[in-house]
Amino acid sequence: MTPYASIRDALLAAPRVRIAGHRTKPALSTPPEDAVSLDLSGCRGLTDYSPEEFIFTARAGTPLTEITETLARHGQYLPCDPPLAARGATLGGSIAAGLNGSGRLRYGGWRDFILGAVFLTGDGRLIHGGGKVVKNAAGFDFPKMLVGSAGRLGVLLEATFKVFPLPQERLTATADTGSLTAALALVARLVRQPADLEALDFDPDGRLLVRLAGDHGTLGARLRRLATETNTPFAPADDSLWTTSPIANSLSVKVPVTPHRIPELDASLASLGLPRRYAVAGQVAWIGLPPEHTTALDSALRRLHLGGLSLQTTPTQLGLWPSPRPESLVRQVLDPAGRLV
Amino acid sequence: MPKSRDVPHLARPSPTQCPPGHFAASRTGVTHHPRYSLPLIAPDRPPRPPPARSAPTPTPIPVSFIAELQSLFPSDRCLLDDAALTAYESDGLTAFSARPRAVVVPVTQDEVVAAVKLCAAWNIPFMARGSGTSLSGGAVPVDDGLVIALNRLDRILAIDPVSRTTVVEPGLINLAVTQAVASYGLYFAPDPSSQQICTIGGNVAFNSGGAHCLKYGMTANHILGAKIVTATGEVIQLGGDSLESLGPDWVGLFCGSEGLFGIALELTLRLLPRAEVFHTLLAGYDSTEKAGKAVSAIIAAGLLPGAIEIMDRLAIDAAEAATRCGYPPHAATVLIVELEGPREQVDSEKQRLAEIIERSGPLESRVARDADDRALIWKGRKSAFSAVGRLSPDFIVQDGVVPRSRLGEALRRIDGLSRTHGLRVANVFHAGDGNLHPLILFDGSVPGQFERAEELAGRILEMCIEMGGSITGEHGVGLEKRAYLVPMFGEADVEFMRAVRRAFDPHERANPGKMFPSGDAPALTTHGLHPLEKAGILSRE
Repeated sequence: MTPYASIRDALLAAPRVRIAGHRTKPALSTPPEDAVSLDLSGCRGLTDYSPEEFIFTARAGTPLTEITETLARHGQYLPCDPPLAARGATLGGSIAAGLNGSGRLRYGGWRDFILGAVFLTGDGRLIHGGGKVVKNAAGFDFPKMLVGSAGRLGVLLEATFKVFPLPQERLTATADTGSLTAALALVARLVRQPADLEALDFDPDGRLLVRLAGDHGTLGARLRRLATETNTPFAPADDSLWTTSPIANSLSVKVPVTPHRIPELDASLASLGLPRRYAVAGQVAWIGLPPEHTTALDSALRRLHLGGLSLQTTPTQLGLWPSPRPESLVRQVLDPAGRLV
Repeated sequence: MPKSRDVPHLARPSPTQCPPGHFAASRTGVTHHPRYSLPLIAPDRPPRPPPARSAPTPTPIPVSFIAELQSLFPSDRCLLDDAALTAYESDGLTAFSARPRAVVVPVTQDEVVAAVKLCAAWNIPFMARGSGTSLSGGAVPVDDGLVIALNRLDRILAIDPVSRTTVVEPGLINLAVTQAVASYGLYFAPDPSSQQICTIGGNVAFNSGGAHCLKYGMTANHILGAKIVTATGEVIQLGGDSLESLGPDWVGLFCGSEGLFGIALELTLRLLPRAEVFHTLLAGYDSTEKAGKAVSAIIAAGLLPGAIEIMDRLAIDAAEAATRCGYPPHAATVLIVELEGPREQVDSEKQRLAEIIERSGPLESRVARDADDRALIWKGRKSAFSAVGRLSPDFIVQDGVVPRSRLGEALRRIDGLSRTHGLRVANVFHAGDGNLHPLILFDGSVPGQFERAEELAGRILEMCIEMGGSITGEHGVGLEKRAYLVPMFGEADVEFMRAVRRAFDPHERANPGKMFPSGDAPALTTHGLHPLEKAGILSRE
């Protein structure tokens, strides 16, 4: 308890608290008017890392880059490919926001790699959920519940994850299909192939971006075969396309979706003139949102029965969100005073 | 997230045709009959004392509750007489049994909700049951409560091959999912050994595992959405139909909740593309230590096999006798490693694997020649538990987890415990996950042996906790391990779990008596082989 006593004290000292890390997602970390900020950026560092176990534990305020660099030195990585790492995003903030990158396609997101969590409830109880082994079916899976909880279900202090061996090599390639319709048709074929794509994104103009990962000397042959089998001219491209393109940098709203709903979503977004990219084989849309378009995007998403999480501008919840009912039931137990906002 | 579920019905299979009677024939052709979950008594042995009853006995069920139940369900789906109820007394862990007051067999989601609401109105405890293959007593009924048997709520509602999802009802058999989507090149990854018979609802309730968790995770990693009815009768949609979601991961919390929040009505499953090629290697060693070191070397080399399994001599003998699987005859231990993926990747990995195995000093090793040979290797492994029934009249299987780099130490300690307790222990385990399955062999007809076996099982669980592991990797806590939940988590964490349970089920009506320690824990009294295990259809993993 000792290392976290001061955080607990700060939590209990305020009637309403908003948790912050490195504030790369200001819409989620900026306290509302009547709340105070609980800054966890000082609560950092890997507390436990046994490379031979492929498991690490780190405090919530640890920058993602510190984790990924440490893992990489041991030939390991976090397959959920968290975004905003380069801007200083922390482990806790990424989990609370529930943000995965394009690389989550192959093996899954935060929810699939989190094993354990230590957190404070809104009334200051210190809870240990899950464990520190890769397989565990004992008790309720609180670590998963905290993924995406935006700090409203507890103050995450530290978490334990499994990690995977870092692929020896990666290869990015692009293919221009000419239209969104053609891109979706190609995606429909690619996802059923045993091609083992690590990532698959596409743009509204029909440009596909794929990434293969594997052993030295195998990726060229795999790409050639993919091109032949899908009759698509894939061309090797720069890895930086995943992170540094202007479009990748302007995207601030996450909208979970499924491929067959993308045409209608894209039509709405096109009419609003919003930049966008479809990631994870069409399972998520990333949308750029100038603040003046917030209301319009909100209504468009509602019309489509979709919901979005806005990271840069409030409100954070756009469109239709899942039922708030489980959250209100559980918050009665873990935050009866409504301290965590 | 859409309010209305709208996975496209690109392929809509016709609803399951259930034969008349209470029990649906599964799509696998295995007819599941709950009679099979009765405790077994070998004909040549004296009958054992009746098993202890589980869970506190609630107030006797009022007659008018039964009358209302009968108004909701036709008589052939509302079972009240002793003979019919007997079939539902136990699950795969035959040590426990309890007599329900009634069993209903809903065929629609609305009927499930109606039954739960009726229980809420009369304050009657209930338990949802699938095929009853739980190995932790999780599907043992509540004494005098209602069993809601979900085997006939088993439709596949939608398959979306482009989104790689399917929406199914909870009574669907695990293997039926893969069978239904195989033509799209897809499959459902969780593969508990009982997958020919266990249901998706049960897999979700206990967060089932299988041989492929190392690479693909447990059941929870493959569930995207769940429509549930809570114990108060409220229907809530958790999660959705996309790989990505908004808000807290309630589906993740629901998976593995052992039926304590309510009942799943509909589940959205994530599917994966089937691997292009498999490479299955079998190696025999003169010591478990060497096999364990080989596992560490494989993992340290950065290989990510689909499965890494180890069996010791006793388990090999049993498997060989049962299946003639061709395991190395003189080995103390066998190691099975399976690589899978695109051809080029597996070609590269198999070279690396061959070098590691070579250096690990095996007595012999071989690679599966073809699909049939691969199937035979796996048959030996998957039949190991049932085969152990040939070596011993009774056994207890445990499911603890230790850090995988400490497997060798764990096995040495189990061996020591085996000696001090004077009981044989066969070991079969998911080595890549650190998930042990020690099988403690005993003869319940010999006075004192059962107590020693139970004591030994407890010592193994305590060892797993002490080593920083878990009391269960994939079977769940159920009735069997609830005394060990507090030692693993501590009072405060367990009390918090109880509080969260009460958020969904304030009156603790949903599967009460499971997971949490209780004052009147029933004693294990008997063990025996499940008839389906004897038939080689079902095995404990």
